[in-house]
Amino acid sequence: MTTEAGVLAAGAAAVAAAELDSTLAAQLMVSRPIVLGPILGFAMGSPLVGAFVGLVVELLSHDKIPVGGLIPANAPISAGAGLLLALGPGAVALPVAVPAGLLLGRLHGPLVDAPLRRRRGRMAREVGETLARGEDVSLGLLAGRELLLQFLANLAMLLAVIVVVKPLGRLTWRVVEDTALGTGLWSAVLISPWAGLGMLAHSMRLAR
Amino acid sequence: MTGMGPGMRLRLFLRSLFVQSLWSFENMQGLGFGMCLEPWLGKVWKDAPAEGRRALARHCEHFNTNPYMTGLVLGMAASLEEAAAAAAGEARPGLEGRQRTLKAAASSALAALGDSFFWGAWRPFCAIFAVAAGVLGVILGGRTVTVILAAAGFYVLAYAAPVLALRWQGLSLGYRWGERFAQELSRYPFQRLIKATRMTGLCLALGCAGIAIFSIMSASSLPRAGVVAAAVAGGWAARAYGLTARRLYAAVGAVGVLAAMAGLRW
Repeated sequence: MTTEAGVLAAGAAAVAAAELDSTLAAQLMVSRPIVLGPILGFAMGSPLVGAFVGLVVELLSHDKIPVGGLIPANAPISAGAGLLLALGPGAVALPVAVPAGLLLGRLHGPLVDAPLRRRRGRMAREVGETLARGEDVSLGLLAGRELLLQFLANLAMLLAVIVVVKPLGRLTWRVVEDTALGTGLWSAVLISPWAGLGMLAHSMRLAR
Repeated sequence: MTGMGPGMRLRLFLRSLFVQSLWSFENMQGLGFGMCLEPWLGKVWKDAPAEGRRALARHCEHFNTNPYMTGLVLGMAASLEEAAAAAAGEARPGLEGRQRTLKAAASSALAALGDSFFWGAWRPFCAIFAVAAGVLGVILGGRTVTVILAAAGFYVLAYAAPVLALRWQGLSLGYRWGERFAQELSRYPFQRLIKATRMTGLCLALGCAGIAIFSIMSASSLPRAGVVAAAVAGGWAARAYGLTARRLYAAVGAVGVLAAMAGLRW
């Protein structure tokens, strides 16, 4: 149990670090669900579940693109949270884990991203004032600090998911499993990747 | 490159990977851009540190472009900053104003280009390509886990290779082009590239859907294949009408609930 909990915590740390790739650092897309899902699943002993969750979230995360100040639902957090819920001790069934992951990816913007971006706005003003006073500023150091802060905020959110959302998810599934809602949740998780493929195909059409 | 040696280019390149690390709503990538250019400014203004700080403050002003295009703007800014440092004192304000205008124009043009190519075409294309490669790998009899991990690796390689090349090469191109930036950029057939990527991606996506529907039809049942076909078509229509993925997910779930209440099961 302790080892499994350690694996979960390590998984949360890995997702928190990978999320940095989505906006703040490099953007090589190693954080995309289609990559993160199978790798995290493999590391946690279920590559197929990882690939499935990764594929579902990947296909459903191309509807908005991160231009300007727009913060779309965070795909790495969606996939990562979904997998942390679906794997390890106290695993939550996929019909609950996947939509919960999607919702948590959406909440990442207002809970983590937006406050940190506002903080950096204040920092930009301070940097301008410091330079105007003729003092030196190490922007590289500030960047390193912001990366660390974002990592810690991601990690806190993901650990909260494991501690708080996981038991709630299990309870929810126990209640709805044999009801029409349970069937609906299964339908959504099984059919939505196909709908996502249709959405993705539409996004590739040539705009006139 | 005459003034920018390989060591400096590498430093700018590595910093350019973190151009968004200081992103904010008001300043966007401004602070990050200043952070990327910091070593270069230290070099060209080493005999006039106060001017260097002024230059850094200027480059920390609001800036936004597609992150992968930063190398081009950084190269151009480095070239213009070098010219400003070499110019006589009274010519500098004019050069600084020109630099601001050129930087703003380049960032807007490159943002539009980069967003429509990388976010609008290349990223979805790579996702579809990885899915298609995975489907093909499984059809050809590959071990599922190996195929999945290979497809994931394939996605990262396919996406990252051109992105890193552009960031690296962009530095020297921007530096070489300097003020001729816009004319030089217009020689490249970006729109054709975007169209070709999208068209190939569309064909791959529809091909994947077709193969999957055919496989389900021959392996299990016609109604199940019909559900998949309806879902793909529904996803297309939902996107056409601006429905978000989360709402689509909820809608599919709601249809599933209604179907279950009517006694139908997936």
